[in-house]
Amino acid sequence: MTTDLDGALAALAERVRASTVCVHDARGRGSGSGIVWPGDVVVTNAHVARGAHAVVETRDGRRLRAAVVRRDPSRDLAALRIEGGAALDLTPVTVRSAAELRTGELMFAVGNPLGLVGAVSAGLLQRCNGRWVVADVTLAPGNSGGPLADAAGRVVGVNSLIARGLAFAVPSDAVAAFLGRAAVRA
Amino acid sequence: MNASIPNALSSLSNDLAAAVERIAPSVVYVDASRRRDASGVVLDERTVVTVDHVLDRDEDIELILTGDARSSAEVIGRDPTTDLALLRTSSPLSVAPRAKLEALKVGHIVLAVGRDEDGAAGASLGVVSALDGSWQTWRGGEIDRLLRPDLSMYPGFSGGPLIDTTGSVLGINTWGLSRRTALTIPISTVERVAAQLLGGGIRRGYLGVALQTVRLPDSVRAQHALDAESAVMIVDVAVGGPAQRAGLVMGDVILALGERAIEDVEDLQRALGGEAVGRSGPMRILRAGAPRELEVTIDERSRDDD
Repeated sequence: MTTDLDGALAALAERVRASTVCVHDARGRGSGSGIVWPGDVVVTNAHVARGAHAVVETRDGRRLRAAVVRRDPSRDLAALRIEGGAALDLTPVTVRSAAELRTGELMFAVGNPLGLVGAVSAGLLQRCNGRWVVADVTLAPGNSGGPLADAAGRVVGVNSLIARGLAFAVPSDAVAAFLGRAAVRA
Repeated sequence: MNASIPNALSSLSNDLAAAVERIAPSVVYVDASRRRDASGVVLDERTVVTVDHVLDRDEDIELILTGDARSSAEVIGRDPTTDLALLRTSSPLSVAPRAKLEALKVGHIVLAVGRDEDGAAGASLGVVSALDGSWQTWRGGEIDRLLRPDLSMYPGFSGGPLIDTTGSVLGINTWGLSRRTALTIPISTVERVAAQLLGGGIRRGYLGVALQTVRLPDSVRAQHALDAESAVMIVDVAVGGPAQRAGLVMGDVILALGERAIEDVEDLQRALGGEAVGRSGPMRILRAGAPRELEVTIDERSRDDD
């Protein structure tokens, strides 16, 4: 049982990390996280990608220039696309609707808190409403824009803020609505 | 597209969510204070247990249940020594399943559950961090086992349950028994205290003294062949109380009550449990350095004696 769980945890961490990137501003400074979303888009927080451009850093150390193609500060979401025809060449996440979540499910946050690349923290789903997925997961600055995933590694939200020791993530459904509002400019 | 993740983690996640779903109907938000949020657990159809330190009033208490349903409640018993209180509800509620503590080990997965004032249940995850024998609270309450979970105890989780992975209650969580850490009052203690409160209150012995623990000087220990390194000194005597009637005065140093050696204040508090009420026995003391023995009869402590 322990070996099964350990193996499952390692596999989950590996899968979610493979689809998580570091996001810097256009000058390559500052650091948050980003999620490789289906459709060749990197999703992050609006407060991480403030300008028209950003730099996406992959786990294998490539730094790619990206355009901010969509931004909604009211939902704290931004969408990035790699410029100049360069391929991101990363596996996108599998997305799950946050509306299906049950209180008590295991939740995993992946990101680059405090400069630690690909750090994983775990906890339980507290509650989910249309606005936030709230989880008993320890976040730190740098987790912003990174994925909150379920026990199968499916992404249910974008980690956005910390309040009263709890993680608040924008629900995956809100991300889908944000991306689907109109065709993303390429 | 993705490498598959073994399903051990998903089944654990499903078990945890199912555990929260099982206990949630028996976890209520307790609105009995303007300053503090608290939860409570349904012990029987009309009885809810919560923690004493969150109650600012005994009446006009409102409980918020699943789906924002509400029930009024009033306090039917309080035991500040164990930080437990019982409420009687106006409408019948869903009784919480209880766990057996015998099989519990350090490292077992546990969850803390609470309900917020919007009626939403929340949960946090951790493991049993410490498990030990009985201990006494700073207010002299007897707790069957030390049970400390390692998890985030959010505001409003005091009075809520610690549950196992099947959703059965292991105990009641509280911030009221230690300044440094949240602890869990084991369900066996909750059941014992609840039975006492429902049976007309917790009986505690009363001596009518204020005490402090003092070191016994080596010369005194040698002179009277005392093994103990400390004892308790009487620093105040209540007028008309059992101690005064027995002839005890300020400055007397208590060495033993009946057969029990008294080496610190906690020893004396333990000797004043409910079973001591009405009992008479010899008390061995030192007065001005000389040993004496007095006959003392323990009274019952009323609520005003604190």
